[in-house]
Amino acid sequence: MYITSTNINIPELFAQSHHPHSGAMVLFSGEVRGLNKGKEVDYLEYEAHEAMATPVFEAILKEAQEKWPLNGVTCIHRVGKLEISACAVVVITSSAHRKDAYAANRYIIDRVKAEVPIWKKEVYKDGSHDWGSNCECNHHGKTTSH
Amino acid sequence: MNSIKIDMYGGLKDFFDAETILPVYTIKKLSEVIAELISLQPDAEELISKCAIAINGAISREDFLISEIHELALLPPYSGG
Repeated sequence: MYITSTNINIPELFAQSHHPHSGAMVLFSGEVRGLNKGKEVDYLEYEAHEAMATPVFEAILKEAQEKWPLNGVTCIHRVGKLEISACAVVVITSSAHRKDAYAANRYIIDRVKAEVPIWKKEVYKDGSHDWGSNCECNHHGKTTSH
Repeated sequence: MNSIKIDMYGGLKDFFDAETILPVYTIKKLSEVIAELISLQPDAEELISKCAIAINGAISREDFLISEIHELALLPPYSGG
């Protein structure tokens, strides 16, 4: 499962990710920020094209495991309404040494942000809203990740 | 063919229903469907120009010929994370 509409239970996921051959575990939690572009955020809403997102998650995690000697890898993204400080996405990587766990974790979250069909709506306390964008791009041309 | 359904994601929902039904009377290229959407919502042109188009869950080319059996989705630049 890569997408969930319920709260991500970070302690439980972390506890499930221990591995007897791992000396390092890295956990990244992308969380809802209460301030964006100088405006107070009320809440976020995420949506996904789940049928298209799942194979992209699978490919990213598979490629990470091919690039680094990982003993475990987890990535779950929330959809639905999220309050401030809620976890929107979690990536957990474990490996024998920290260098690989750190590198793989960064690789996964960067690719998830750029390649997985998920969209974020930021709703501000003044009632206005923005649609997030992780790149100044179109899908047919050059992409530039932020 | 009578109509096609297009699933709209992200900021497109400021311009279109999440499931937009477009009446069509002849088989059309995907590019013609896109042009029709822009004619309906000219203010959405910039965003539409940045979108990928998925047909039955796969990113497609603009010369694809659309029929009513196809599931269309318009995908703005992603913003997960």
